[in-house]
Amino acid sequence: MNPRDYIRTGKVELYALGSLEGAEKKEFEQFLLLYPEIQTELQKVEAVLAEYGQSSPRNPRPALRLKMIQLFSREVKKTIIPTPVVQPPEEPQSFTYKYLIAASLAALVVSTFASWFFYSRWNEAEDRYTDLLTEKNTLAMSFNQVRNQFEKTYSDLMIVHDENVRVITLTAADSTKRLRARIYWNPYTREVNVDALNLPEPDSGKHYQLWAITAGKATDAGLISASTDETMFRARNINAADAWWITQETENGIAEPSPDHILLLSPNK
Amino acid sequence: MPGLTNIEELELVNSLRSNETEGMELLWDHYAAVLYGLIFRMVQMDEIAEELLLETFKKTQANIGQYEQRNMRLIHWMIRIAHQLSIEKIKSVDYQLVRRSSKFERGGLPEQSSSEGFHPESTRIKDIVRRLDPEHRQIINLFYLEGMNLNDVAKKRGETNEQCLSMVKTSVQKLRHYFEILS
Repeated sequence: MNPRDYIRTGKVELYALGSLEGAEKKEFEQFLLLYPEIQTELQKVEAVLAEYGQSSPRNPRPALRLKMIQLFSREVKKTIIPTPVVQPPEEPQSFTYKYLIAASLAALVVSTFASWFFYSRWNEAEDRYTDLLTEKNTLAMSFNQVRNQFEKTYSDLMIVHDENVRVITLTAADSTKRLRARIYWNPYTREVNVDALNLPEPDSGKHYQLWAITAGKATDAGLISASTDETMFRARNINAADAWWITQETENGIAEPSPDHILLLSPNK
Repeated sequence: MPGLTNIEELELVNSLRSNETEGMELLWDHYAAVLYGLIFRMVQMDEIAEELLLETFKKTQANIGQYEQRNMRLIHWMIRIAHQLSIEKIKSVDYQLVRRSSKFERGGLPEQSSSEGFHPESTRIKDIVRRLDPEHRQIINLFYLEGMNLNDVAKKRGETNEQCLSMVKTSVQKLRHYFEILS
């Protein structure tokens, strides 16, 4: 088909006037897509008619202008805010929002104060807990001390209380000195305990040494420390003893006592 | 209000695309009278014409994104929207009923209006249109303003469809010729 022939039929004008209908209109619109000449021709005819349409202007009522502006603002609002705007409750809604904001601010203040308050309370509680824990540990320690002391004292008492124990009191060899010690010797169990009743601190680098004398022969019964806090010392087991000596010897002790060094001795039988 | 230059129209289109109320006001001030004049001539009733005028502006604003200036002037595009809406209205059942009940006789279309105001652009166009033979003008009006189809116009004029089609073509060509030589 030649588009120029088609243009000559007058269908472009008819289409532009809005008078083409049905199949003819569809056919025309197809040609419009296929032939740019037809499209150009249509644009020209439409422009002529659009000019013609402007030939008798008539002023609309001025109130209509205002109506259009209001309509337009509403349309714009609608496009900007997707939520539908309900006319009357607009003000109460903003009021509600104001209240909501105020309420949430108040809640924020209250919760901030509350968290500060509870934090300080928690700190206090933690301090008190630490104090209590220290106190408890101190108490436990002193209880242990007391128990140990008690056990020691109790065992000492048991030694004294034993009916098989022989009690020998040693007195100073030099009668001018007031030295005293007591031996608790159980001949059956051969256990020997020494109670330093009144013994001064030994000279520096020296030790008290206990001896058991049997038939003129001295047996080493061990070293004795003479500190005041421990009353009863366990010495070496002794099978038999006629007499007891306490000498002051050098640190490590010696095998044979020298009679010069005797400080305390048992009374003669 | 005078018509707008192409550059002014471009600015107006941009303003409309960014949803500015100012653009809409400017559009109204320049084109409302021209559009209202066309719509009124077609529907012949102020109440309906006002409704259609608002509808035209609403549609213009809603579809401004699709408007391409290189193909068509903005006022031509709006005239086309107003024309389409008015044709739809004329052909609608409710409009026909109102027309019949008001015993409104469509006849001599008012070329002049008391509230026409001063429109230099339209005066120029009017001068061009006046050069057209009354017969040609009548044919264009029957199609363009009254929305009649070829059969009806041919019957009314006692012509065959072919004769009538040829008349339509000639009428529009003449109008086009006057616009081309006098613009």
